[in-house]
Amino acid sequence: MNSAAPASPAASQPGWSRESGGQNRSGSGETGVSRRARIGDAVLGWACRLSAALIALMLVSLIVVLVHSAWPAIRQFGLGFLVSSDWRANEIERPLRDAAGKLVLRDGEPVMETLAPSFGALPVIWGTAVSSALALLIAVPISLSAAIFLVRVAPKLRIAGAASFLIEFLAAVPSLAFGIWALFVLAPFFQNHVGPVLQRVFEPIPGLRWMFYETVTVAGRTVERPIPLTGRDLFTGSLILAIMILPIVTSVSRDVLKAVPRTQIEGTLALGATWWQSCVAMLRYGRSGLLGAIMLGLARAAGETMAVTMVIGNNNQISPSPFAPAQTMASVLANEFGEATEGLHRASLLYVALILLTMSLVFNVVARRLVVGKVGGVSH
Amino acid sequence: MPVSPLMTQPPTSAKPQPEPPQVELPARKRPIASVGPANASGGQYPVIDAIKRGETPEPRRHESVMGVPSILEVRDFQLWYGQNKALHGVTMPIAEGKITSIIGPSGCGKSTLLRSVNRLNDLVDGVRTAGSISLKGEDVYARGVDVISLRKRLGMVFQKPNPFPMSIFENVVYALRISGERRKSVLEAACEKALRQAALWDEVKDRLKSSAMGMSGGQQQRLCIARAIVCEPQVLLLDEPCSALDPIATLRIEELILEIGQRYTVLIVTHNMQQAARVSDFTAFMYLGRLVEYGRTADIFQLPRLRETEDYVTGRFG
Repeated sequence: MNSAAPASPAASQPGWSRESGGQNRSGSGETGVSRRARIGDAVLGWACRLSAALIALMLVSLIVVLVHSAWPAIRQFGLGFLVSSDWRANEIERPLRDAAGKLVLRDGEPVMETLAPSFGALPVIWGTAVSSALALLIAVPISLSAAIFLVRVAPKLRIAGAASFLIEFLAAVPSLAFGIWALFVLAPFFQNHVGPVLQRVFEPIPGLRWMFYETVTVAGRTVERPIPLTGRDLFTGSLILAIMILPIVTSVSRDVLKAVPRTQIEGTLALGATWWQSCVAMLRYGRSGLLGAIMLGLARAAGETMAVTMVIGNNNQISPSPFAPAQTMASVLANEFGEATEGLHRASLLYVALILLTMSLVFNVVARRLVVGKVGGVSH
Repeated sequence: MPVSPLMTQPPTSAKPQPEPPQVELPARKRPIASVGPANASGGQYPVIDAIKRGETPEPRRHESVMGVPSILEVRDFQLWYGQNKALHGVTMPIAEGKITSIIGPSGCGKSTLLRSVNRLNDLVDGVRTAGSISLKGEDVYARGVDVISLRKRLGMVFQKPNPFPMSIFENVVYALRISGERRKSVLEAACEKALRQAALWDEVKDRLKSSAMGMSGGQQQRLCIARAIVCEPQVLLLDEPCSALDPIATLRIEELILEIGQRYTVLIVTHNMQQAARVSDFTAFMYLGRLVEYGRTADIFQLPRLRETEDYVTGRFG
C-alpha cells in the first residue's frame, strides 16, 4: 500500500502511516482539508504505536531492573538459591556442636561459630506452591460447578445475569478487605472451632500424625511437639486464596463452557446421557480452555500478597503440615522489604520477586494460549 | 460407484399439467414461511392459503400409508415455543422397518417434529406440547416417562456432524459407556458391528484410537450414524444428515441410509426432495407446522393428490 503514495505530497510526511496509503491514492490532488486530516491520522497512529511500545518497554525495563538489582544475590547464590532453605538476614554467632549434637568445649567455654548472612528461596517457593495448589484444590470444583450452573441452569431460572454479576463482583473486592476479614473472622473461627474438630477427627488416623506434630531440633536434641493451631497457617492462607481466585476461574470457565456447541450437548443427550453425563461431556469438550482458566487462577494465587500475608503466619519454614505457619514469595516480599537495608538481603528479595515474575509470566502465557481461540478472547 | 435403483426414478411429476404464467416463480428459495395475504397464490393453492390464514386443513393421508403396521404414532401433536405454535395437530403413523422422510420448506416444523420424538425439545425454554407421540404403544409424553431410557431406544443424527472430542472407538461406544458397560470385549464387538453397519469399518479399523476430530466431514457423519446405532435403536432419527456435506459424501450417506433401512426404522428430515425420493419408502409433506400430504414416496412424487405437493416436489413452489 505504501508504494502507491509517492506522488502525493502527504507521503513525504515523516509520520505517514501505512493505513492511510489507500486513502491517499484516491484522494491525491485534493485540498488541504484531507491533508490536515491525514496529518492528524498520522499523529494519532504514531501516538498509539508509541503507547503500545511503552507498555512493552515497561515490562522489559521491569525485568532489566529486577535482574540488575537482584544481581548480587544471583552472583552469590546462583541457582542454588532455588533449593536452599537458609534465610539469615544478619550474621549470627552460635555455639558450635559436633556431629552427635554435643557442645564443643574449649577450656570449659563453648566454642562459638559465626554464620554469615545467607538466603534461599526454597521455603517461600514451597509455601507458594502448596498454598496455590491447596487453593486450586478448593476453588476448582466450586468454580466448575458454578460455571455449569451459570451456563445450564441459571438461564432457565432467568438469574444468569444477576449470578454472574455477583460472582464477578467478588473479583472487585480489594484484597485488603479479604485479608482483614480472614484475619479477624476466618482465622479465629478456625482456631476455635474448625481446627480442634479437624484435629480430633484426623489425628487418630494412622499416618496423619504429621498434620498436627512437628519434629524440631532444640539445643541439639530432636523432639516432637504439637503444632499450635493458631488459625494463622498455610490452610487459612489457602482458603482465602481459594475465595479470591473463585471469580476469575468461574467467569473464564463460564465463557469456555458457553462456547461449547449446542450440538455437542444435544448429541450426548440424544444418546441417552443423563444431565450429569452431558455436563461431563461439556467439560471434556472445553478441557483445554478450562485448564487455561485454572492456570489463570494459579497465576493469581501465586502472586496474591496482602490477604495471604495477613493470615499465613509468615514463618520461613518447610513443614508438611497444612496447619503450620508458612510464607509465600509474595508475603516474604511484603513483610521484609521495608526493613531490608542490607545489600544482599534486598538483592535476595528481588531475586524472589524475579522468580515470582517469571512464574506468573509463564502461567499467564500458557493460560492465554489455552483459552484464547476457545472463547474468542478472554474477557476480564 | 453403485447407485441405488431408486435414484433412476425421475423426481418430476408424470402428470402433464398446463402451467398458468402467474405461478412461474423466479426463485425456488422464495421465503414462504411468512404469512402473506389470505389469497396469496391467486387461488392456485387452496390448502396453502388456508394454512396461511391460520387454519389446519385435514391432510391427505394416502390409504397406502395408513394400513402399514406402525412403530411410532403421532396423534394430534401440537407444540409451542413460548407464544409461537410450531406444530398444529400433526397426526401420522411411522411405518415399522421402513424409511419415512419428512419434507417441506424451512420453518415447516419438520425438525421440530423429529426432535419431539426423542424429547430433545424439552431442553428449549418455554416449550409446551399437546397430543401424543407413542413409541410401540407407549406415549413418550406421558407422566413419569424415563426420558433417558427413551432416548436410549432412539438414535439421532444431526445436521452437522458432531463427533465428540475423543477417539473414534470411544465415540462409537459412548452410548454403552454411559450405560455403565465396561467389558472391553463387549465394547470392541459392538464398535466393530456398528462401524461395519455404518460402512466405516474398513476405513478406520487401523486407527480406532485416533481422534474422531481428524476425520473428513462425511466420515464424521458416518461415525455419528455408527454411534447412533450402536445400541440398536428402535427408530433412527436423521435430522438433515447431509446438509453439511459435499455431493459425494452425501451420496455415500444416502447409500448407507438405504442399507441401514434394511435393519432399522428410519425417520429422516430433509430439505432435499431428490434425497427423499431416492431413499425413502414413505414421504410426508409439511407446511407451516401442518401435515399436508402423506403417502408412499412413489405416489407423493408421481401421483400426488394435491397440486401444492406436486408443485413443491417439482420445485415450482416453495
